[in-house]
Amino acid sequence: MTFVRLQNISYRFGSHTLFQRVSLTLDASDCVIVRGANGSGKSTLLRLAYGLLPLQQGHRTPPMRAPHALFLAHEDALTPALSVEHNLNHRSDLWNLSRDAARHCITQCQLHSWRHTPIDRLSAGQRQKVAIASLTMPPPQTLWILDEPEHHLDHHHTQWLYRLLASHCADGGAVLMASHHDGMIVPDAMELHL
Amino acid sequence: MRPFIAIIRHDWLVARARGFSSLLSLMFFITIAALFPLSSDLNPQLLPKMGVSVLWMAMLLSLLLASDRLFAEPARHGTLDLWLKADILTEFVIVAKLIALFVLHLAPLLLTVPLVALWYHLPVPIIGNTMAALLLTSPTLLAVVAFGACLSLHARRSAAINALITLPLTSPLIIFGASSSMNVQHDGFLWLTVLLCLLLAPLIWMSARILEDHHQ
Repeated sequence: MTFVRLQNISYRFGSHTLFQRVSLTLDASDCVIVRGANGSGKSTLLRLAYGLLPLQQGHRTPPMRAPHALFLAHEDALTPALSVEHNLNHRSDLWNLSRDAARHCITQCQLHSWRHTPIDRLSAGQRQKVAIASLTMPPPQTLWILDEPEHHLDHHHTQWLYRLLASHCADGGAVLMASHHDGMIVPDAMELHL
Repeated sequence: MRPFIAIIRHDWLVARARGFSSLLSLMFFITIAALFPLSSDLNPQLLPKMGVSVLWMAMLLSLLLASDRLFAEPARHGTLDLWLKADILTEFVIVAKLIALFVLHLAPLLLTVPLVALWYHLPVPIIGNTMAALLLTSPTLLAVVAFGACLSLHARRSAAINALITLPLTSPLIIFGASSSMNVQHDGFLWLTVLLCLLLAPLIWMSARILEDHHQ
């Protein structure tokens, strides 16, 4: 199953060309790490792949809607006034998942102790963990598009994230992520340098 | 249907978590209505005539105050992206937000209209007319407010721009609404219904397209 295919994508802001003729295909179990210096267009490429930006040049398969494709940007899309559980339940309702998806996610990702804590009382790292955990609610055959998801995470949670990515790919999902991390993220991951 | 209800529920839970601070717009409405007679000549004959205009303007201003964060806050947190990528048409995202706005802001305000009307010695038939006209105008008024909120979403001075867009657009609603309240123009209700039928769907459709453009 092909989640997304980009062919000869180019993107420019005014007269400044961000990248040219980038092609990318993500099938089930694929993981592509997008690397590049700050301002090289990593986030733009991810937003193009998710359909959040109009194409300027090239071709793209029709963007998938949630929960078949999920995007984690720098904003975690969590409502600060609501508790962790209410935020997860809200996503579960938006994505038409089963009623106990949020409960299952809280158990699996060990979020018990913050379950009733409003998001605005969590640290940036804890918020990021909740946002990442919410990706695991739908069935695994989904595309995750992640923009520097290690942001704010400590070493222990970064390793947790990488294990989660590996198991997501092993279960038939796909990952497209931008990262500045130099080491191995997911075994057999492909790399795209901008 | 589930995403639609989820968005209404989301706004209800946010209002509850904030201790129903949405009632501040109701306090604003009551304060304007209470202050107005203090700043003018208390002629008992003029008071009822003035009362209807004050009610309409106070309602409009408090609704503007409430609509300031309608889409700006979800856009800032990223929740708007979540809604626009969910399995629901953007038009229904807007309708869900407007239902929540009605329940949390406009409905409590409508309930206080008889109380405020008493200060202005409004006769009972005029109070009834005003409430009916406000109720009939609500969907169109909310759609205008949503349109203004969408257009000013990423503007630097969004509150001021929202007011500048919304206030002139509401003038036909205010004209026919106030005349229906006073029963001066018997077909005022008919015109409010015509405006509702003509404007509601196009305004929501345009707001949806603007939101999708902002989203991109």
